[in-house]
Amino acid sequence: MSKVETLATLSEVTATYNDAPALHKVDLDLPEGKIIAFCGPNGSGKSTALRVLRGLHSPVQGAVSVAGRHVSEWNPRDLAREVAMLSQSPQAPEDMTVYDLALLGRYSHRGRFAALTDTDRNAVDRALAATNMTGIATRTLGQLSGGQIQRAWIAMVLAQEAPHIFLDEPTNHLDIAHALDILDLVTRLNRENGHGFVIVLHDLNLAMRYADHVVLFDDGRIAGEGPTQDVLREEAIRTVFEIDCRIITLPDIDRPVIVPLKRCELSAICAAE
Amino acid sequence: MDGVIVWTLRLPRVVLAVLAGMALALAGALMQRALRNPLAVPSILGVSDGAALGVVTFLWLFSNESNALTVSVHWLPVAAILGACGLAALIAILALQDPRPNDPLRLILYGVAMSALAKAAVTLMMIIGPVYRAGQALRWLTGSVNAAHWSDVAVVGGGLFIAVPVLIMARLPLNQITLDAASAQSTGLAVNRSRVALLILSVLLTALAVSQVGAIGFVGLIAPQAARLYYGQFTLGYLVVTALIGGLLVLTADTVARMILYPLELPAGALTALLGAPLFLTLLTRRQNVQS
Amino acid sequence: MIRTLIFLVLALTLSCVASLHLGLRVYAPETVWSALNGGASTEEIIIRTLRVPRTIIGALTGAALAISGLLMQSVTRNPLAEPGLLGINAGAAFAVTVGLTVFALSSPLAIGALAVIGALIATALVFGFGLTLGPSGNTGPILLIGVTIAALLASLTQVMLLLDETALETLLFWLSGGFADRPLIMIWGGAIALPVALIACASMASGIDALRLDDQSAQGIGVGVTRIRLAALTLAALLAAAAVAMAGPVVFLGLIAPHIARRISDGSRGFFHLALITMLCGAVLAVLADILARLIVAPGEAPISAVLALVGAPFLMYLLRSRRAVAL
Repeated sequence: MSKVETLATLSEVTATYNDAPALHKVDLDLPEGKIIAFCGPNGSGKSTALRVLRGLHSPVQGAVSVAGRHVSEWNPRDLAREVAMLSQSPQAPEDMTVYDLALLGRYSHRGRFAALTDTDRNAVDRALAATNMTGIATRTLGQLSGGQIQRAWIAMVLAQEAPHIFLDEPTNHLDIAHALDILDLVTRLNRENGHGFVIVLHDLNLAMRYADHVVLFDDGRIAGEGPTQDVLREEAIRTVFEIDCRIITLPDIDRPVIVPLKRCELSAICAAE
Repeated sequence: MDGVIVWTLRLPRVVLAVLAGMALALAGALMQRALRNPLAVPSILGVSDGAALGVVTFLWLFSNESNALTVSVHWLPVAAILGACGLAALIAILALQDPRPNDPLRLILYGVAMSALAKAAVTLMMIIGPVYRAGQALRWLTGSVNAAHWSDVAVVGGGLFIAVPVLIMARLPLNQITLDAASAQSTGLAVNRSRVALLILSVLLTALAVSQVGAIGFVGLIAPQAARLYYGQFTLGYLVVTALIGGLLVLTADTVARMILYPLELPAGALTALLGAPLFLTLLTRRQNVQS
Repeated sequence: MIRTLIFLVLALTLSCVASLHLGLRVYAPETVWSALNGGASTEEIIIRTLRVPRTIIGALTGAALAISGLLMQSVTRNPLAEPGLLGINAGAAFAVTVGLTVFALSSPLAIGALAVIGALIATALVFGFGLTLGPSGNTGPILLIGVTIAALLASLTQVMLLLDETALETLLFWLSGGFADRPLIMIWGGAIALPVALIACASMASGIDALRLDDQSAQGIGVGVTRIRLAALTLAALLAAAAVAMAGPVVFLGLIAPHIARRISDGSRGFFHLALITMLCGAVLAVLADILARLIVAPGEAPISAVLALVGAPFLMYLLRSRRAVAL
């Protein structure tokens, strides 16, 4: 793969779901090699933007390019080798085992008639180890808890071994310890192997702590974009989420934390605008 | 004279066509909802094949060498209803005794297997038995409304008359069951009980209609789908539209069947698909174009 | 797992051997053996020209329909999907009926050719309508369109046959499906279609396995969902068309053979393995049903679809009760 400075670009992209608008003429450049968080209120268009970027949803108008090529020029296998994606509520049969699920992530690497290679097995084993699933790899999905299922899916995405990984709310169903595990894993993969991540995150504090770069969505438009601490500021959070908050630095932690206070008064929003 | 013909022949025929169409369409809608499968129709629970088995058994048992029935022909619908409900009950018992009774797929598979058995039995009985009985049975199996009496109308009408208030009372569970089983359960719906109740209602409605007009196909499958495209969400209004489309479809089919090759009359059951299919395909493509 | 395959191959061999011996007349093993070695007595010629072809046609048809049904159920994720839903049988019956009533074509070869043409046109019609709805991953509409077009064609056929009773008498035999007295040349259809289909299945296997996930996730790991679905349905249609040319409209087999196969295989070996087991199950079922069809209403022959139901339905129910849950 040739080295490109931008991971993906949206220009003038408008997208809808069954005629309901989701994105309005969005322009966006995502830098390569970073952990990028998409934040914003429910229904602000962040998941749609991710799906459009991955070629899972066609925009009504506008151009989308990802990993150096227009999204429609990619064939599905090649794109999957470049960009892996975990969607929001994925579904698999209950009698499928964790190992088999992770193995499906190797789809784009396997030849049409080829048997499993050691490369495939090793990739799956690494993915299972990274997500702490090795011990229960032979269980079926029906036997797992919600958090374990989520980690099994993340193992599938990792087994894909794509240099870029898109995650739509990966911390769904996870307790705080496992959520931190996953995001620490994301950080490690980014720092050590240079994987680029785009992650839809609901929790602003997790975004503050783990993201290098944040895109803030509001009602189908982009309300802010840039390095994390430049974007997640009290005023921006107040206008986008309509809450009052304080951003404070704590000793021993290099990133500040966001403390939500209360939903702001309607008059306060008007005043802010 | 014309007045008498209209009153004793035409009018009951028209009313019966409409009512039977309504019953078949409603039954289809309930079945698709309860089993969450757009291809599920009452015949999957063995209703049509059970009724056919009832009728063929009846003809087998109660007709003599000279092709005459030894009992009154009015018992024929009873045999059909008994066959339909009997086979449906058998399928239900099999499904309930299954290790995983909550899975609609298993109910469907039991239904498919038992219906196929009943159909095979019917075919074999028609082959082994004397030819004249096969002819009688075949006429019944295609389904038609041309020998309608007011008494037939009363049977189907009575069934619908009982079903309507039940459906109105059941409108909340009907909406709720659109959710997946777990979510529906957690919103307070007794999923299994509701599903069983819907299926029973659906089987009874179909059995009544089939007993009077024979196995008119396609209405139960397509009327609910067409209503969905035309009207939208699953509500009481949707059920009304479903019933109207069903009634209209059978009525038109019967009228065309009577007129098209006059004086030869075709069975209405042969024409429901001929008329309904283009209607459905038009609705399907038109809605899609509006959307895109 | 290899054991299941060996067992099924053995079962198929045994049922084929039984099929050569059993029937209205039961032949001794030596007669069958000398018939296969080119004996010239009447009995031996009967075995060679009647029993052998119908056994081969039965096995090929069963195998083709079973794989066809498996492909359809797998890519649509609907357990009720079967070849008839693509309009195959209805299209074939319609074309054959038109050929007879309008063009007076009644030679077995013409009927076989018409059946294939009708089946493929009906399928093309279903796909055509399906694609006007956009290349959506949602297969609900395709199945509904299939049912609708099948019903439409069946209805037209029924009307034509009601109007022309002699046509009904001529076609009744063909329309009820069966493996006896079929034109031999049709065997080639199945003999070519099956290996090709198996290769195609092997090449699509990993994609079809991935379709067990939801469409989004399948696309995410690089599966061309729409393309693979269309390819699988086309293959299913071709197989079913080959089957209908060989044996007329045979129902039920394509529906239940995959369900039976899923319950005797352990499910973790992937699609190609399942396809092999399904194919063998289909072939065994068809040959066994054909033997029964000769015996139960002797001296007549029972329609194969009815016998298939008699054999397959109880077996399916037995498996339903005895085994663990199996997802699609």
